[in-house]
Amino acid sequence: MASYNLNEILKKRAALKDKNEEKEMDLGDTARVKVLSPMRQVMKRFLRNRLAIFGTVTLAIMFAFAFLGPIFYPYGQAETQYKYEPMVSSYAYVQKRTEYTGYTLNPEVKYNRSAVAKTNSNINSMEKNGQEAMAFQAADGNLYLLAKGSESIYTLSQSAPRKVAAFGSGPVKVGTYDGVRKSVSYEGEDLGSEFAQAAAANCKGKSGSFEFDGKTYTFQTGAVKKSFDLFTEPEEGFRYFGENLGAAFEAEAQNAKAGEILEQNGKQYVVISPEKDNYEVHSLENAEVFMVYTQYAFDTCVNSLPLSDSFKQGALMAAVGEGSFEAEAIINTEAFQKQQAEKALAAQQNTHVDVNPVGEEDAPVETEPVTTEAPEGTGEGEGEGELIPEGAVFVNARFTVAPSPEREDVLLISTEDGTPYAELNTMVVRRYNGDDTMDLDLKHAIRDHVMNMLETNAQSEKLEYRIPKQNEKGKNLYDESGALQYEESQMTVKRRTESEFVVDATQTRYLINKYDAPSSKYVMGTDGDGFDVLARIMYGGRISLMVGFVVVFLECFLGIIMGGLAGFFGGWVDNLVMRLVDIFYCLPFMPIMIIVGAMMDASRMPVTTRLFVLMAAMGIMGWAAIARLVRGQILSLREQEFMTAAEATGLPTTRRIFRHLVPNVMPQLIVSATMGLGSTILSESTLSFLGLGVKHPLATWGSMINSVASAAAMEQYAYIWIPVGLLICFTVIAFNFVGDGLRDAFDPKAKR
Amino acid sequence: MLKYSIKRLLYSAIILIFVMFIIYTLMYVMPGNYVQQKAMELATKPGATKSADEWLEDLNRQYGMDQGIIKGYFTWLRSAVHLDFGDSWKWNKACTQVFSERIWYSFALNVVTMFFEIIIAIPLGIHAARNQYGFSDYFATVFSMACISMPSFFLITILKLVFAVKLKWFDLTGMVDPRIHDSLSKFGQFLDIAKHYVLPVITITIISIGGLMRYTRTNMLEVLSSDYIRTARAKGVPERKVIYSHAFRNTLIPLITILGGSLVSLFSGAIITEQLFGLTGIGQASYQSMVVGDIPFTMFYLMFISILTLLGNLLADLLYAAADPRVRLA
Repeated sequence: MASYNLNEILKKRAALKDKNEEKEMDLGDTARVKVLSPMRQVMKRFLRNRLAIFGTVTLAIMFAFAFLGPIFYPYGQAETQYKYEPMVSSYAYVQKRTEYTGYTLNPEVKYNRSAVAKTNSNINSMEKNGQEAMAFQAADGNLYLLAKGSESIYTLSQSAPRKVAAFGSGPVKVGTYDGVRKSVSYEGEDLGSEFAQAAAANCKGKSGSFEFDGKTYTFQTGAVKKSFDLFTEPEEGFRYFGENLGAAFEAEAQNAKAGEILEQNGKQYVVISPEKDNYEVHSLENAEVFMVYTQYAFDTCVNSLPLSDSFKQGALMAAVGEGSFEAEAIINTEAFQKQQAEKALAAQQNTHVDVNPVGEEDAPVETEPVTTEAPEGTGEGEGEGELIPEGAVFVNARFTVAPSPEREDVLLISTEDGTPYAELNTMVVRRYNGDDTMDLDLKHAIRDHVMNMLETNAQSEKLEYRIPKQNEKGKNLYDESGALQYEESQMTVKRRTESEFVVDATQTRYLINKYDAPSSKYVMGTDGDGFDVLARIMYGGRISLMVGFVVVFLECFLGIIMGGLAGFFGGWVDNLVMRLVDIFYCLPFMPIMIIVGAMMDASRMPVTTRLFVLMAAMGIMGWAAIARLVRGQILSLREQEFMTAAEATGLPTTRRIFRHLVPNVMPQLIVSATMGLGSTILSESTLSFLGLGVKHPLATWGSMINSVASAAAMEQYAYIWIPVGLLICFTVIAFNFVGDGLRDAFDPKAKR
Repeated sequence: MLKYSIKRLLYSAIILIFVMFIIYTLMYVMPGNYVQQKAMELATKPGATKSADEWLEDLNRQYGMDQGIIKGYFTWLRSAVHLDFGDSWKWNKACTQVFSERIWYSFALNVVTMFFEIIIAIPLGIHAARNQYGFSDYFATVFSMACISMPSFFLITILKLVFAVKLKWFDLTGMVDPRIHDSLSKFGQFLDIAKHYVLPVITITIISIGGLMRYTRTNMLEVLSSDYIRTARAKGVPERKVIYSHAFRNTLIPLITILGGSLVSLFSGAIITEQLFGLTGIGQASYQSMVVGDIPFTMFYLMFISILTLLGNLLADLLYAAADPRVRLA
């Protein structure tokens, strides 16, 4: 407290004057009494109040923090912060292929759906029985031959039925008797109308037999009502329909089971059993391979290289047959790679135009939409829907297929000059989302580990390998020369089932920086939306103070007008206004504000409109106190002599009000406005805390506390909500201290 | 006195009618389809007793929402005069039933709080006044100001952090400990509820203590500076006697006035404290009703609060006259 002793100063001054002028000051000298203007007196008294000074300083700091802070602080209130962070995610998926995938070789062959539907189970049973080939007759009557080409490759051929022989002991169906039309439709030889009459005479009941032409025929009810299937005794022995193939063939056929393949003179025959105990032998001479089934999946040596259908088919057939094939393929892989890289770079440069990168949380979608075949080898995907990148040039070239010299169970496809081009493998490694965008060497590394795990029966194994670096959009990063950039990744191969494995990999991802702990970059950390907390505190202070000032201004504006009218005019105006004041005094503030907030919620108001409505509502709710104060003040002032004098001089009403009355009301008004600022900020923060005030993404102190004040978060994020709460406290206290100090200064004798 | 009281009561009734009109208008301008949507929601809620149309019909019958605003208001007024406030949407039973189920929890909370408020604030205020501009005065001033300026939700969060999360002395929310409450004896159940009242009582006491303390201090200072105190001291009356029989007795007049006035508000409930501590008092019920737009209960509660306010003012004035014979009521 600055001590200001008037006497001492005057003594000093007098001494100084004595020295200078040697002149004595008499009692009535005007220089002897120092008179302060009323404003300076108020100022002096205010400055003497320590609490008021504390309040003023606090407010000054708060204003600087809230209004100047954001200018210098680098982050905005709703600016999402991002970070690069290694994240463990499911990167790849490994499966030991057990299913066979079919590739159509000849699309013109019309086949029955049932013929291919059971291929996988057929192959399984063949493998179990050690069969090399099996044949069956499908519902369309055609014969199908499923034959093992080589390890993991099967071919499916179709042949029209060509009966070469028949045998068996079961009854032979002659035909069907139709009881309505009274006629017989014959399977084979026509037996004439007499037979039909005999059938008509005898076919009664469910089953039975009759004699005709010395032969016994049996009948039983057929599939259609009033129809009967007619059978006769089988002919003895083995019957050829064409060329006689000899007794040896006959014996072999009779010993064969249905579906078994016989060979005679280099031709294939199949034994089928159309009915119980009856067998037919068909020639498969004209069988045509129209589909090839394989467990293999294609891995190209160049990452993401698209393969044509002809290449796949050729490769598979070559693996079965002569070992070399000709197909359309992208041969100039270097050029392809370069093109891809350039495209990716261009795409990235385009994306840099975007203002806000979007952080991705789940598995990023790869840039390259190329899939060389159906993902994860489920069933009969035929490599359709293949997207061929623009600019990739397919040319005809010769390839050779041979078992890989280095790796087991792998077929290597090389170009004519011996460069490896692609691999066939039954251990399929793909990205977890099904894309085939991994480098071959990574696939090899993972595969080796999986093989090892299969041998040792281990549940998981670790490895370290490089994977492509990704940017914030989940796209691969390239350096200036267009080469892919890599990062080291810790991978864990985990067994999921007997034949399935998942590879978890650490990968640096661009993420929204949520709930970051305080650091040098984010002084108070970040919140659940990735917004910088300190920035939000600053902007929150701005909004809180702004709301306070606007609301108090509105209250004062309404209050002065209403109170002024009531006080100055008196009479019925006074009565009316004061009854209105009584009514508004009676309205419960908090419940009404809660209702208003809930209504704004219900009408889904935009946040800024909401802010204005909130301020207006608070102002309207609060004017009554000011009006009452102003009226009281004016009533007492009106009766004083200076107002009578003003009236006597004939001053106009407006001048009397605004020049003479209002300035005299000012002190009380300033005091209650200052106190009102504190309480307004308090109510606003309470409403925002309840979620009914200012809404996200606008920051306010109340809502910031609310966002971390749940039972689970309050302990962990105490460093956020405690400082914010203290800020509210200090601001309100400061306003109250300043208000108190001003009141004391304006009128030291006033009752508090 | 009686004449004055009757006059004031009539006047209060008129004020109440206008207050309720403003509140009714607020309800009336609720976004149009909102009411319908609420009714639909209500009808599809499990255990719904009425269909959406029935709810709307009830609402229109009692609240006249389908009529013009003036006519509708008088419809409501007629129902209200007959003490028919309808069924709460949120609680699915009569408003008056919700009220009678919950009011005593709020009342208990406020009574206990008021007790602590008085026994802490008044002595502190007197002490501060006796040592004007001394350390304890400064301390009391700062403390009371801090209490006034404390956002209740912040205080509640701090109390929860310290006593519920860190020390685990109390539950975070709730009226009772659901694990053991049913197995306790009657007295044990009472103690269980009392335990859950500790933090709310602390909260409201801290928040409301500041005002009363400042009021006591100011009035005490005024009395202490009056002539008869100087006379008493000059006569050589012991300081104790000066303070407690001369000064304090006179300070009691304004104190009785405001405390008497706030007697009525013991019933009003503490909206935020009850909501945040999960006390099933009237304040929590009203908060939850207001947030979901439960028109019947909100109207009922606001009317109740308004009546309490008006009665409180009347009571304060009457008490003032009763306590201070110098005051004459016109």
